[in-house]
Amino acid sequence: MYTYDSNLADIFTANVCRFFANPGTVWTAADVFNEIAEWTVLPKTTRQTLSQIVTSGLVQESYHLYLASSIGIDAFTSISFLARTLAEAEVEKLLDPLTPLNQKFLEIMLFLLDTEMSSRTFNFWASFAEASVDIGDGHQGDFWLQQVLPKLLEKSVWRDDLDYEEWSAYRADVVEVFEAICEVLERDTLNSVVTEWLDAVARKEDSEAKVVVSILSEKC
Amino acid sequence: MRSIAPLQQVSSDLALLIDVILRREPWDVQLVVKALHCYHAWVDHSIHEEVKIEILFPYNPF
Repeated sequence: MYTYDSNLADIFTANVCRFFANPGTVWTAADVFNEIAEWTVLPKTTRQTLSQIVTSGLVQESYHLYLASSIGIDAFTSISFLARTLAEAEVEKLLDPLTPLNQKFLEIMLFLLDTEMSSRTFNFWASFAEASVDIGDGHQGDFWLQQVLPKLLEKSVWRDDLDYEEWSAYRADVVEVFEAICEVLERDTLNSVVTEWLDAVARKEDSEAKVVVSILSEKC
Repeated sequence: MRSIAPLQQVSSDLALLIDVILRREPWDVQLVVKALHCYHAWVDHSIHEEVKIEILFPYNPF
């Protein structure tokens, strides 16, 4: 029997899965739902469905499609921003409790740190670090933050294929995240993570990097 | 704030139209993309014109 539903939000909520399953509508849907989620609180059912979709591997898959030139950066940006918006909306609840879904959100945010979206996750990680202090013993986020640091350091290193202005802007913006993480992680943990990263760089065959690392190591 | 009755009527008409588009099998992808943009514009309108979202989406459990 045909039933007519006059509620726009219900109609779109009922079709969320189909929007994201269709290659012709997935990127537009990501764009649209991301912007709506930025403006207002999404209906609970829509939020839950979108969370399941973005944590199903779609973000990682999109990045591989982008690297293979099967989709453009705009498409990857759309799904990345949606994931980020959903994660940011729940940033204070991601560790309390750390459900499998929340864990997947944190894995996605770590994944994005290694991509062109890296600096777009800075606000999330700064907020996550801040929020983690108020949960349990204040160190339940350490496991995740320890993984953030090496990625930030790696991205802050100069490479000849980088655009100087972009690299410079990244290094300026990254400071805030470093500060937020340093306020959470204890000194010994910080030293250990950074030293480990410096050692890893020193083992590489890049002689220029080795010189920089040896100078830094002397100062640490 | 604009008058409520016409907005509710437009919302209802729009919902009817979009429902028809989304029930078609197979989807006309270009039409569905336009429907998504339409939904986007409608939510944008409701927020920026200070129309209470409950008025546009009266049964929506936010």
